[in-house]
Amino acid sequence: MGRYLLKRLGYLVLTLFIVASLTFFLMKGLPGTPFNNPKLPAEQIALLKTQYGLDQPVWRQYLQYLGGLMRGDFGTSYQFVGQPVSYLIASRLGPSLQIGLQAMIVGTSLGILLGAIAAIRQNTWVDAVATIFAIIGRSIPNFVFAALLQFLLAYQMHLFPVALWDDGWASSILPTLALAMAPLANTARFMRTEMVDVLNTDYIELARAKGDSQWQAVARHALRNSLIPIVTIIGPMTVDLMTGSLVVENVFAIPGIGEQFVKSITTNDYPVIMGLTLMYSFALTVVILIVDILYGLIDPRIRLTGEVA
Amino acid sequence: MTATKLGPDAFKPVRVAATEKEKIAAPTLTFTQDALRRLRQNKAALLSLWVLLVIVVLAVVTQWWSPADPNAQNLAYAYLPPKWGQWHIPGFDGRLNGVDLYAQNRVPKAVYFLLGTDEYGRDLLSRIFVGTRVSLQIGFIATFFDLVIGVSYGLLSGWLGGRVDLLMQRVIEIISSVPSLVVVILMLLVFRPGMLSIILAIAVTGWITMARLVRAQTLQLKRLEYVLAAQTLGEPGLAIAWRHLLPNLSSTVIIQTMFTIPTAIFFEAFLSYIGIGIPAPAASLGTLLANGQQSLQTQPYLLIFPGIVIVVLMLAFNLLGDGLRDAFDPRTDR
Repeated sequence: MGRYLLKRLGYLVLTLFIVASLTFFLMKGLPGTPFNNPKLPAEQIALLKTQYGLDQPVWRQYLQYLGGLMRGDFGTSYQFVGQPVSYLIASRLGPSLQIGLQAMIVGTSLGILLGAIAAIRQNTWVDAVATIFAIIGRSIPNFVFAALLQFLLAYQMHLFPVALWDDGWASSILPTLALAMAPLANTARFMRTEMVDVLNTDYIELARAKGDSQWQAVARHALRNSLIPIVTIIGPMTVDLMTGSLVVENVFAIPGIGEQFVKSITTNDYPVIMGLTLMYSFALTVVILIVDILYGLIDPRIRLTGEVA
Repeated sequence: MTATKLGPDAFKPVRVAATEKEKIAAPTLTFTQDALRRLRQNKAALLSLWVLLVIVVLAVVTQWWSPADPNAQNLAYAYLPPKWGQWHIPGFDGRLNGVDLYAQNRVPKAVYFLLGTDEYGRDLLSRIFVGTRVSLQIGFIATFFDLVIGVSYGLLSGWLGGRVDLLMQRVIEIISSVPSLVVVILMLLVFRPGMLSIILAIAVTGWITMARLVRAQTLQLKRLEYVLAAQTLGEPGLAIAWRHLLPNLSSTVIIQTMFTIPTAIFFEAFLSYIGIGIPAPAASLGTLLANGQQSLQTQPYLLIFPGIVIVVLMLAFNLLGDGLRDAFDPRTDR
């Protein structure tokens, strides 16, 4: 276990190093400079370049960048002059995390419920409705769904705030729902398959034979066992949520990192893009590592070895 | 109760010809025939197939016969709601909130737009056709990369094994630990937004799942007897992979392809929606949706129709994909 963890952490650092280097050299290779305003006098541009360290040779900039990363320094934003990238990210992390976590909780719990009911009532109309719901949930792009929610529930029925992040918890409801749709549909689909498999096992038959009702057998034996593989979809789900947050935060004008990412892309704010890229990769690799470890802990049949599966 | 009368004839031995005895009653079906039979029983998948065919034909044909020029601007006809000739279908009679905007803007009687117009007076229907064509193109290009890069990468990695496999898998691991969205965005920064950079981005990230699946399957297949037989007969390694493994991988490949297409379509729409995909004057379902989003309160039809099209497109590909998986791989349900 200890060796396995060490090896995985090694890969994590290697991955992040490669991502950091790749983004750095990609950004360096881009044509033009961030300070291409023709009105700026030459000495002003030279001053800006010195300020941002852009007058140094590339290899020194690279080493400085890597050294900065070690100390948690992601550089300085071009768009918001003088603002450190780390501060920019930190100040916007809150809303994104809140919505993301809420969506994950809502999505998985409703998804598990829907999938389990569909499996228990297999091949009935309940199953059919749940399946159709899950397929539609998978097929509606999250930005269409977000816009739909905004139009129906906010503009037409005035149930929730239309946008912005100034109405306390109420502002987070619609974005959460919009973001939760994809995890919900995926979890439901996965849960149904697992539950159907588990319900066909011998131990469920044994539970039924010793006198458990269908629901008792499900509650005591089937549910826990079919929940184990659900852990594995947390990784892809995190990706979905990251991608989703970009549009959902834009539709609802939420000051989160997704919105910042899109803004930085459109304004060519390279340091912020690099910082966010690293942060997204870091979050994803950590989540995948945690999921793998959790999986081994929950299901003792799976032993963690030095082998990376 | 009536007793059955048995005559002496009933006790004679029945003579059946030897060939008749060995005859198999059901027709023998190949794997593909069997899969197609199962697919035909799946009504949702069949319907999706027909819907997709119609969409593809419409999208291709409208390249030459479009209802209107998708990029022609006419400010006199801006923001006209949907109108279907002189028929009075609610929602399609040229009225918005009870006001006949065609009469208000003095639009000639013969001029009407089936799905309305946008802020520059461009015909929404024609633009939706263009957008659908873009989506389908992206989908098919993604399939191409999935097949070329994904399949050969997975096949090589699984077949060669050993150190090559280890190295190739580390590369995949690193690529996949970066959210593909981030890779796409980096590509878009390097090669300016447009069709080309979306395609390149898909080429970099889109084939990972396919490569993984093909590799896993190859690892299983290469231990089988027919591979050993081919080796014994002296067939070179890569020829075995190509001639014997690939056909056996086909179901995995077909199924995965059907999930690559909607993912790619979603990605293009997503990128265009947040404004870093297909650039402004050109239409794509993503840009149409982003546009509709801005005037959602006043002209909801600008969002609703492109929204319906993309949902139908995704739904049809997903249902067909599910159907194909059930047909080609009946053991895994859903």
